[in-house]
Amino acid sequence: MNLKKIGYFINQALKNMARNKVMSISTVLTVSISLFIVGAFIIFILNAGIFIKTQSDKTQLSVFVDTNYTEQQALAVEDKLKNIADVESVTYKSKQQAMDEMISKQGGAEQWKQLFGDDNPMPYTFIITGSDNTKLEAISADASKIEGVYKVDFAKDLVNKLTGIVNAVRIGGIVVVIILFLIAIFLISTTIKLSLYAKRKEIQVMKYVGSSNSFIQGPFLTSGMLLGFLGAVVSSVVLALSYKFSMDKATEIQFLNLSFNGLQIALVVVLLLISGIFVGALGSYLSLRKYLEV
Amino acid sequence: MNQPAIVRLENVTKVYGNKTIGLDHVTTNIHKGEFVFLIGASGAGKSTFLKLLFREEKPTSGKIYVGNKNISLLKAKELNILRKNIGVVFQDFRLLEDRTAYENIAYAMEVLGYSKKDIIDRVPKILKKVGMIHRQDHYPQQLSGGEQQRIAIGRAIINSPKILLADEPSGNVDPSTAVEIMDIFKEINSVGTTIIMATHDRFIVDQLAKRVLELKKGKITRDQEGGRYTYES
Repeated sequence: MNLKKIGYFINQALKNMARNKVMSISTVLTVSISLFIVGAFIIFILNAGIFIKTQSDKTQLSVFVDTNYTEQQALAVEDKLKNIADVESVTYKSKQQAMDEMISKQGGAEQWKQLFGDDNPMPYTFIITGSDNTKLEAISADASKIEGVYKVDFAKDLVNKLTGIVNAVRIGGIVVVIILFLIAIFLISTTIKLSLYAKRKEIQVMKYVGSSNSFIQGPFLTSGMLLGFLGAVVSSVVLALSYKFSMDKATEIQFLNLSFNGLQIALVVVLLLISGIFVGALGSYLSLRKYLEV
Repeated sequence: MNQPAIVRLENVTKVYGNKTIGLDHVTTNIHKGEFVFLIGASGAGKSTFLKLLFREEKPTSGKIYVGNKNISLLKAKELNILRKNIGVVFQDFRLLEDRTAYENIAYAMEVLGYSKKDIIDRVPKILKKVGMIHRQDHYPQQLSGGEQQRIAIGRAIINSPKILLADEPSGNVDPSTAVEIMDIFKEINSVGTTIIMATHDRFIVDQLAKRVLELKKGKITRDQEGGRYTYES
């Protein structure tokens, strides 16, 4: 395979596409929509994974004590918490600390004042650090049994829920992605079929004079790969912009702990470009095999 | 003939998918440089004979050798080597309508990977050989049947093939043009190219007095050197 031959293939491929503009453009758009969804899906799964990981790596849980307790009664709970197996440390957070923390995070000191006056609706809180995150469930169960504890919060609940959602999305997503790939392959193969039909007489001549198979098939294979590649380029641009935009938003929400990751989007873009070329090659290969007689 | 066989059929049978018999246990040799007419009624197997030789069709059984190669064993990607060595001409010319006479021949060279320089150099020579240089910028629709056939012959010989197959090449042209076209074939034959021609044209067969293979229902019923269209002993 030399450069001259590749140049010839690309030249012929562009002519094929120009001859069939509407079909080519709609194929590129369909491929780009499919690949955009594929890319968005991958980015969602990746980031959901990162989020879940950071949440499940946390070894802390929060224990809230009945707000009707006096501070002294509440502090009595601390000893009981310390006695639970695998508890490494217990830190007390007073109502006032809890309130200050919340106001510093969310603001709105005025509104709180107006709503509650001098009352503090925040509970007494103990932050428990477990020896490792696999023990949290047991600690949580034990802590809940202690008298005066009305709620135990830990990331695991959230992680479990999220993992469930992500798994559902992953399964649904894979099905959707497969369908979209099939549609893209089908469209490319139809476009190539049309070009094959348009060039049937040329193909016949090539066959009779003894052109090599690669010479006959090359332009069509190149057309398919170009269509897939162009679709991938369009989807990559749109995806990268959407990614930048949504990550800028996500960064504002501290809790999500997500940020723009150049490597991540670069990898997804490379993956999309490869997929686009692959889908194009496969689509045209299928048409060539079916409709091109040797 | 002391020349080695360039085409050899050994007990070749071709049965099409719909059970139509194309060839029925045909064995024959064709030597290098020969000019062979295939004659017989429509459906006698003339076209099948030609199609088998450039692997448009595969034999159902038997062996076909072109040169020393059993061409039934060729893989799809090897077929182009066979076809480069075999020129083909059809009754309906099969030219590209949107290209001029010159471009039709240039296109065939282009898709064989010839350089621009080779194409510019060789196309006029071929056009001269088939007597079409003065009409090189005409489109097929502007040319007579005979002129179109000349272009088709020109296209078939760009590789200087060892064998030229022709399926009713004079079927679509008037008798005097047919004679002119035969002159081109004779000239091509005179430089050693083997020609195998299926034809219904009694006049041409009788005039050229070459080897005649007569087919009937897929079998060779006559193989006569210097034969005429109708058998006479």
